[in-house]
Amino acid sequence: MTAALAITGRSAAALAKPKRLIGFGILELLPTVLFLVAAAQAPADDETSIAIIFATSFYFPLIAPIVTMIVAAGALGAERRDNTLSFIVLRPVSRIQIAAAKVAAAVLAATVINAIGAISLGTAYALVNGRTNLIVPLLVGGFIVSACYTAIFVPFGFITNRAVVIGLIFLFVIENGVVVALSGMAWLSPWRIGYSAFVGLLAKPIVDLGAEADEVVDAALGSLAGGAGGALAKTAVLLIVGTLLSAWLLRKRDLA
Amino acid sequence: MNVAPNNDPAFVADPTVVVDGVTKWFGQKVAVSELSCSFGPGITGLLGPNGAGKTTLLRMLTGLIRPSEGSISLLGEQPRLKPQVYRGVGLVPEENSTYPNMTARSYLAYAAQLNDLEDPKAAVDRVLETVQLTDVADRKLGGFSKGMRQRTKVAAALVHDPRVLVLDEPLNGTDPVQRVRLIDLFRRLGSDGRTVIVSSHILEEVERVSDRVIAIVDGRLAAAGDVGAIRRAMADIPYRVRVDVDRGRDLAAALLTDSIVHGVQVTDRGLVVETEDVTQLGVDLLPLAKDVDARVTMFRPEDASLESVFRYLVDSR
Repeated sequence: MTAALAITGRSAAALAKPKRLIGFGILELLPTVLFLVAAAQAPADDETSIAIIFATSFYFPLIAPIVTMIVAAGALGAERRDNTLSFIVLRPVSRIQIAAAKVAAAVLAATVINAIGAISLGTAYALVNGRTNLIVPLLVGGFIVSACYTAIFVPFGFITNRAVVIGLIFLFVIENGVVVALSGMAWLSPWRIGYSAFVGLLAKPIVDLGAEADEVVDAALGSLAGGAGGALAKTAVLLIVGTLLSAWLLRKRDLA
Repeated sequence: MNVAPNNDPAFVADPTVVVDGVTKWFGQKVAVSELSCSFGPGITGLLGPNGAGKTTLLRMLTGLIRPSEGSISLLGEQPRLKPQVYRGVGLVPEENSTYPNMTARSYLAYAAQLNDLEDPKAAVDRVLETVQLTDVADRKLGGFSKGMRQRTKVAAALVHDPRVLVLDEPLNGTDPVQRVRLIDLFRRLGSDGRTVIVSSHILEEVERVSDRVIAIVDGRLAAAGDVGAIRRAMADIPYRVRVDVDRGRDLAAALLTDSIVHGVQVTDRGLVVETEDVTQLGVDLLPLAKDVDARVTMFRPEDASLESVFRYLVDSR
């Protein structure tokens, strides 16, 4: 257990190192800046719709997935590229413990970075509107997006150096392209799992979305229904599968 | 597992590491071919030219890569199936396996935590002292010289006091003073009853470190035994010597009367002479050339490299 915790702590610190936190942190602030600009120019009482639209258009489908892909692909992939994998695997630690520790580290690092975007947008909304009820849904949704992409990109980053490039193509072409046109394929899109939790946690009727925001939310959800319980269950399944797959790869593949 | 053939110098009586008919392919390339040998307490040098398959073999020994055929037993277990075996194994890989942003002390503490040691701090202090890095222990590894990083890797491999220590070209990048100290350390570890396997492509280096040598070339076993036996095997090899001379045929006839000459081939520039004793040939050549009135302009052993010697040994096995 000590070994697994050591791997998680050391890996999380490496994946969310200060330079990376600053770079990704600036990216994470983009929806907040756009929200503040738009809210300043919009008629009164439109802040909720605007915040939802920017979360829906930028935070969930772009920023959180991209950040997580980059972070998670390095969890095992960077160790392999930097020849440091032997330092970890030639220890009396089972492969499943190593895999679980790496997945946990990547979830932790990605969640911390994605929390910058969630907290800043939620706080900006609270400052403009006086309500704090966006912060928790954004944080939960951000955590789920972080966990879902981590479950996929820790093993994927281990088997190919091009994991992030392939992930970006999938994100833009399939998730943000094909799925928008064919809403029945929304199950293919990991960010929509986090987004469905976000929508489920929006405290209706306190949050009364305008028609435009409703339309954006429905289009983004596709065939998925809003709800945090189902999203968390799907996330747990993905994390288990991702961890088992990573452990299997560590056992079966040549590690140098 | 095959039983080690009696008196085969590739095997030891009380092995801790057993290689049984191991082959490794990378795509179409065979890196190690049907290799069988074993390692036991003491220091064994794994010798061979660059690209011979030493690193591949060491990676298979430690379970980093899987054999395509055959099997490997490390302390009686298959390491990829039983990670607990790594409590008794330390590896110093050839490549830089350190984290540049960590200090030497935190890197070794990380190694100690991964081995779940009861007193990691004491273990770290002990190995820092062993490799004489205590003074720079709180400096980041990214600023270390190659030799210092090598010593840090050795310390990380020793932090849990392993029974089997595998070192892949551990003296690379070390200065002469550190080299002597590391060799002394490896000798101490070997004499303590640990199995120490040291790879190198330099015969003199292996000779200084180890008593027993396993030599491989092109992924195959070339020779095994004590260093003296390897030296003797090498002494029996006929060397090819290029001799540039103006009256080649006359000199060839004269050379064939010399008992150390096995054969002579006439070429455009002179001769290629096969001999078991290059030094003696050099002594004998000039009087013979004078007798036939020939002028020698070059005398050069053609294939005295370690690689060609080993290749000869492989072919003759």
